[in-house]
Amino acid sequence: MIKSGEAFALMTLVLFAAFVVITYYISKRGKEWYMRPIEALEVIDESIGRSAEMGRPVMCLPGMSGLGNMLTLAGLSICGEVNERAARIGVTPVNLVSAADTLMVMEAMVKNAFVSAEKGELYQPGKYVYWTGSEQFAYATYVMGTIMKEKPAAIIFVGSFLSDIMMNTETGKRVGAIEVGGCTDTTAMATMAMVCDSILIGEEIYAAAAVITKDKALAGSIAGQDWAFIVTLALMTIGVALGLAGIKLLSDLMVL
Amino acid sequence: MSATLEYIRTNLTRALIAVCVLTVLISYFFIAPPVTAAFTELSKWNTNIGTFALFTGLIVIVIRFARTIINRQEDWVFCLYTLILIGTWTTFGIYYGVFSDTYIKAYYSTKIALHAASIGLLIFFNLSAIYRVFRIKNYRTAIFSIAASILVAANSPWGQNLFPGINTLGAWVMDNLQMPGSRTIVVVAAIGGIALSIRILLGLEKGALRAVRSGRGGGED
Repeated sequence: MIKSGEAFALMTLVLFAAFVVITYYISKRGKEWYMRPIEALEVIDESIGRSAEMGRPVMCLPGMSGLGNMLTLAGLSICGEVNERAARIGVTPVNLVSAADTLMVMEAMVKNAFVSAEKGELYQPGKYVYWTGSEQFAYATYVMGTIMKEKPAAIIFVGSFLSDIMMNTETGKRVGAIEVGGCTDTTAMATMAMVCDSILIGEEIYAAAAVITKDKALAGSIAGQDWAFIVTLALMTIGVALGLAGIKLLSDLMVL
Repeated sequence: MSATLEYIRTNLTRALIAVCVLTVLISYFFIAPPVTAAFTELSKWNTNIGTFALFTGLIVIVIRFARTIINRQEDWVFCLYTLILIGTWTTFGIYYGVFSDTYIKAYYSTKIALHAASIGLLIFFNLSAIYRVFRIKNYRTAIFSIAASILVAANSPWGQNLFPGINTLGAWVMDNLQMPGSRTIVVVAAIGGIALSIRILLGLEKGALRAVRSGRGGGED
């Protein structure tokens, strides 16, 4: 028996999942979807090249949260790609993580990134991933210290951040790094918009891995996400119209 | 690793993930006491695994820092300082108990002081960022600067004294200009999060928890 008030949420989840799966398999059958270029991802590509030219490392930060946060997973997706590209052209990646569970996943991802880049022999445990401690300002201080020490040419901030982002991005500016930010927290995003050279806004963070890998099938699943946006927008419009007309049909349906 | 072991390892992991995901979803959406009990049990396992990961992390840090100190590598003094602090706090916590007044008082009396120092740094970083950002180069930065100036004035005593009624204007900016954008980001980010979750659950996502690839463009996993 479905819990009271959860029926609509379950229905929406099933519908959105169906969109993602359907569009994924449509893509696998050969359909190509248009993916609008995301400026921040192009900047990431350029920044890795810049790091190679300058002989300086590229730094990745997937935020302060653990694996339970979707932003961390999105950050890890992007960091995995950045690590692979960096390893391929001989740039040293520096990854700083806060949560203990993220540390382990990041270490495994970096290893796989080096193997995927056919540079597996260069990988050493503990050389590319550092644990900063899970406390906010301990994390910020560690990141600032590492930025000043390593002087990275590019820093990718994608994940969950709080006020520490101001300290880290400003320190990045001091060493002349290109900075790309990505977050869905509106406060941290505002800071990123101020300081970073480019930012991933809203759902762009979650679509980034698909865009950056140029994986056609995965791009299809992003189309499914767009279908979900259309349904949500339609529900919001209909809901507002019905609400203004005094009809509570949709709002009653949502609390079923 | 042999092919059979690799096959078992891969599929066992998938089966475990499937069971855990179904348990979480069913206990969230349905009234099913046995599944809810299983979910509670799994949550305890999750905590245990997290604690174990923390313990492993501690061992890794001690080994890595000890190696740095023995070889007198760069910044070995800070590693020594960290190890002394870890040892002191661990002993202190075991002896007094982490919830004892003595431990909590000692912890907070050092932590709060360090926090205050960090927040002091934050003010300087804010100022330096504002110095770079408050430059009107085109109409977009002009709009940004005007909106920001209104909000700065509305949130500071000098602004409220100089411009009576600036509070109302500041509230209007936040409620009418900022709010729609903010809500849009929250809604699309939530849907994007759901889509990413589904891709990860179905093994479509190549990024997080990535497998080794033999080629680009969505190669073989």
